Amino acid sequence: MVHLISMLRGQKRGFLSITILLAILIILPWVLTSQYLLHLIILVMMWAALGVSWNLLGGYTGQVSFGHAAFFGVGAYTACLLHTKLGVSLWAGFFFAGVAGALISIPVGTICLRLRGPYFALSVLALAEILRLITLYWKSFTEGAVGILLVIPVMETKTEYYYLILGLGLLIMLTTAYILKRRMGFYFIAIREDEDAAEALGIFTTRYKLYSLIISAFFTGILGAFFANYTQFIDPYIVFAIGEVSIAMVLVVVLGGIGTFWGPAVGALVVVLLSEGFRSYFAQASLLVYGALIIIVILFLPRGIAGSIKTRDHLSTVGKGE
Amino acid sequence: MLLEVKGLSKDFAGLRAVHHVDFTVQKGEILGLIGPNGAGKTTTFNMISGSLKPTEGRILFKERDITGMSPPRICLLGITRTFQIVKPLPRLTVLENVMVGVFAKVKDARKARERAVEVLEFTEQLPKKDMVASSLTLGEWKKLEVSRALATNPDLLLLDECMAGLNTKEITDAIRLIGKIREKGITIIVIEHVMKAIMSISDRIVVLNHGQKIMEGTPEQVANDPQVIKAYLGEDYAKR
Repeated sequence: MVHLISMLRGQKRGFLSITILLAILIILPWVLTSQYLLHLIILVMMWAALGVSWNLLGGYTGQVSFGHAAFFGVGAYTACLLHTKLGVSLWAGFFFAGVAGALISIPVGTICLRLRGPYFALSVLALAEILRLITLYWKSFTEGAVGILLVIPVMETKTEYYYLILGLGLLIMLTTAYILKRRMGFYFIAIREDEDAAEALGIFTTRYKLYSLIISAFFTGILGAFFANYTQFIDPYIVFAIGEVSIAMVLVVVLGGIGTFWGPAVGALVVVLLSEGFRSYFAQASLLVYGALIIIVILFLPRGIAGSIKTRDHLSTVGKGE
Repeated sequence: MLLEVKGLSKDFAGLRAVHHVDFTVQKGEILGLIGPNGAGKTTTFNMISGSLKPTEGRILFKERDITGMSPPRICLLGITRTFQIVKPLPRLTVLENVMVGVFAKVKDARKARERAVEVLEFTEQLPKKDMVASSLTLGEWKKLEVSRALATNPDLLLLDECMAGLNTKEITDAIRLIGKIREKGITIIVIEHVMKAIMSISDRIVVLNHGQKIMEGTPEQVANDPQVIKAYLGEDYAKR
């Protein structure tokens, strides 16, 4: 919060560096000849956007989720099934994927966000597992383990997908920044900081936690639809994966800096590059590496990479304020 | 009558923390709530502010029954409390802490910021506005609790030991601030162990002991009551 405001206060410098970054990102596909590198950058942006979505709920509102694959998978399946069963356009599918993610989050949120403690985090984990089993065994509707192949996805070239995820990522980040500057954002953070104080100050904490969850699940659902279109193939093991989706989202945020604005982007860069590297060396053991990485980060960099860097200018901001 | 507490009781697993307590608060007055540790003062506050549901009894605020309502609803109706064990929003700045309070009544962020500055000006905490709450001293935390509660624009303010642990100068400042708050027309209930303070600011005092009201009256009446002296003040205080 402090970072965000000081960032916005030093608006000129921040604005300039963001513009430069954006310009580089827009030009990049024109100068980059390697399709593999382009693929990696698309993955980084997708994971950054997933991290930002998770971070709104887990980092800013303080409600950690171990099962965001639930919303990711529901989004992916909604877009694909609407298209293959009902012929709904895949573009509209992005929107419906978000709505489906949001809808599925409401019952679990309404029940579990009343409680403090690990109940919510674990309930979402259970939700993702239940959804995985349903899609696995309801073969007549979901094709089960066979999965769904999108023969003609929404776009064809990597460059097109690059711009699509850049746009989606920007949309998600700008929406998040907008929310954080308003009353709702202050309320999310107040709940994270002290729930008793928040209630005493007139905040209906369960309701606001639910708002945060719904927004987060909406974004995650949209990104599930992006993933389905980009890879052209989904099955229950891929999109409802505990390790490769749910925990990977936590890792991206924790590594980059939980509750920081740029943390998820930094975390996504590191995680995607590492996992690409590890995949060839460790294959299935890459999950083991994820686990080890989380332990190392929590022990030595509890604020994450972006969080540790930010601490310094955060302190200098405090100094200036006096 | 702003607040009316009737036959209020609270049981904790068989232990009766508050037992049939009655009192009323008139608009504009300062009511002191005193008594030894464990007398049920904070439990009473918790019930008025909604964080505990009474076992028995009713609480009426502006003739409306608010018994058992949730803390945010009660806050929005016009009763805000501070916490004895301070609960700052540690990673937010002082200004942002106060803004969260202002948001109870003001939706727009820019207006909320302006209003928060006004509140901090009133409580004389404006120089600290950009400090991160976790870096404040205890005295500043206690004051921030008051600033933040005031920011919700309450009709009734519940101050739970906002002077405990403060030095003499800070206590003098706090007494002055409470006076300023009353001048704004805000009614206050104060829980306090600092006798000098409670005797000088309260219009009336309610004394609790073992969950029961043992005395109610003006500061002079309370200070000279044999039962109060025995239960709480001690012989030394009476002689002074």
